[in-house]
Amino acid sequence: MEIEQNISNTPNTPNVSNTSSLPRLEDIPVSRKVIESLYAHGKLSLEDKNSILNILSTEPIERAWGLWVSWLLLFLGITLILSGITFFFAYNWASMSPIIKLSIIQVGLVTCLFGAFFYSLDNLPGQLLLLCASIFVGVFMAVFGQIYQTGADSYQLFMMWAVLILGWTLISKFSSQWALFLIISNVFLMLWHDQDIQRSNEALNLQAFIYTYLLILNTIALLLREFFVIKKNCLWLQARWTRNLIVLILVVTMFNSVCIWIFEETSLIIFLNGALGILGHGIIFLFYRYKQVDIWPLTIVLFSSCLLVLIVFFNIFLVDAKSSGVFFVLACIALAVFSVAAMYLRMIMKEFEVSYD
Amino acid sequence: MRIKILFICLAVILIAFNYGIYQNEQIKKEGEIVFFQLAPVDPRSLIQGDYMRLAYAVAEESLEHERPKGSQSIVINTDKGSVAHFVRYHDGEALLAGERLLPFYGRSPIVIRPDSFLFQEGHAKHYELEAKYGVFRFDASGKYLLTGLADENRELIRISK
Repeated sequence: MEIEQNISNTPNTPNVSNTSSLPRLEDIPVSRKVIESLYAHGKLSLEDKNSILNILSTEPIERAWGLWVSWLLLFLGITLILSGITFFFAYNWASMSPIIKLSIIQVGLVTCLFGAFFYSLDNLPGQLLLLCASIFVGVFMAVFGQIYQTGADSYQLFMMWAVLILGWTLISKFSSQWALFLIISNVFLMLWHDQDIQRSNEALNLQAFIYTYLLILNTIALLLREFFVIKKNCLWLQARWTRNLIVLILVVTMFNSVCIWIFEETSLIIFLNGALGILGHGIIFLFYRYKQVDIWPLTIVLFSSCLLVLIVFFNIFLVDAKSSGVFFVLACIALAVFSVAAMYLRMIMKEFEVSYD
Repeated sequence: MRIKILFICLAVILIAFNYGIYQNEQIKKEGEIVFFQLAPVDPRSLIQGDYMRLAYAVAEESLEHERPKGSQSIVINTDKGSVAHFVRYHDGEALLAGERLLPFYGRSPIVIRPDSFLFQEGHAKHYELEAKYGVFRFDASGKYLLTGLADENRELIRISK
């Protein structure tokens, strides 16, 4: 039924009637979907369908699952090797001299890097090996810190880590490598800020600045990501999760700064953070609702907004509440807010599906 | 170009790593030993996981002195047994012979870093009862490392299998 509708609705499918408004057969791009609907309408036999699909896909259909298994094994293998190395160290900690420990990690690092070189940075194995090498840099510094007990400024580890792998990240053209870099940078900022606060005298006033820093860093990341994907058509960055990851970090940051604004004593920076947080929620919502329709960022930002609405109600009614009836009211508000959000998302989903078809 | 950057970065990383090892090994070998008496952080939970939280007697001694604004280090000297003692808060003045600078973190009581000592899982029992001193080594420029823990006779605690 659905396929039939598609056939009659979309001009891209070949139709028996040769009206001039329809595209000519030569202009219609062959796609899996076209083949499937032709087969569903009995225009193609099963063997024909399979042989066409075989020609269409670079890998024969029968071997697709083999490809999937080999990818799965690749990821599993790398995870197991890395955890093996970790446990090897954990168990033999005291029986190895410091130099041996650090040399083994360096050998691992160099091996990964040469592997990346021989596999070439343009395919997945090479990129994964580069990612491993980057993780080894962090492992080295962690072990180094443990051996020499240099736990003084823990932010230095993450700062050095980020600085040392920056070069590799810039040339990697690999989204996981960038994700690692972004996460390390975020952790660095948080630890550094913590340390900085400890040393200064006006600790409380400065605490909220961390949200400003995080907001700036991740906003830059998101802008760069969208710029390179939308304007420059950057293929390697196109995976959806890269957008979702940054949006998630951003929304969590903004959620926190708005919460602090609601609950804590107000200073200029707390107010500014809170206002930026609300504005940010709005901008992310509008951008992914009207500019680049994408349901995931919308879900994240709507969920956060619903929670914020609840928190505002909580703050107004519940903080000085005397009767338990307020909890009932709050539960009703929660139900209402989340249902409206879910219905709204469902509506956008439907719109999206229609336009996608 | 990408390959060049790939290997230049590798070279930078390896040089940085091995210079760090060299520097710290130098302090460990050549540095002058100073014992820092340990103050129990909390007698009931000295051991947490696979590291030991450390607080030093010099930090407790500092409580009796007033901290000048902007001071970020304390001055210590050592007695005959190489045990460190608090002298004063540093306020920019020049140091006398035998005095050393030690940066501190936090305030009231101040925290001397490293404030933890890491060891292999299961080795806690060796350190828990015996550790009385943190063994630091200072090089000529004042850089220092915590190289181990010592018992009450100021003997380094070694783990024999």
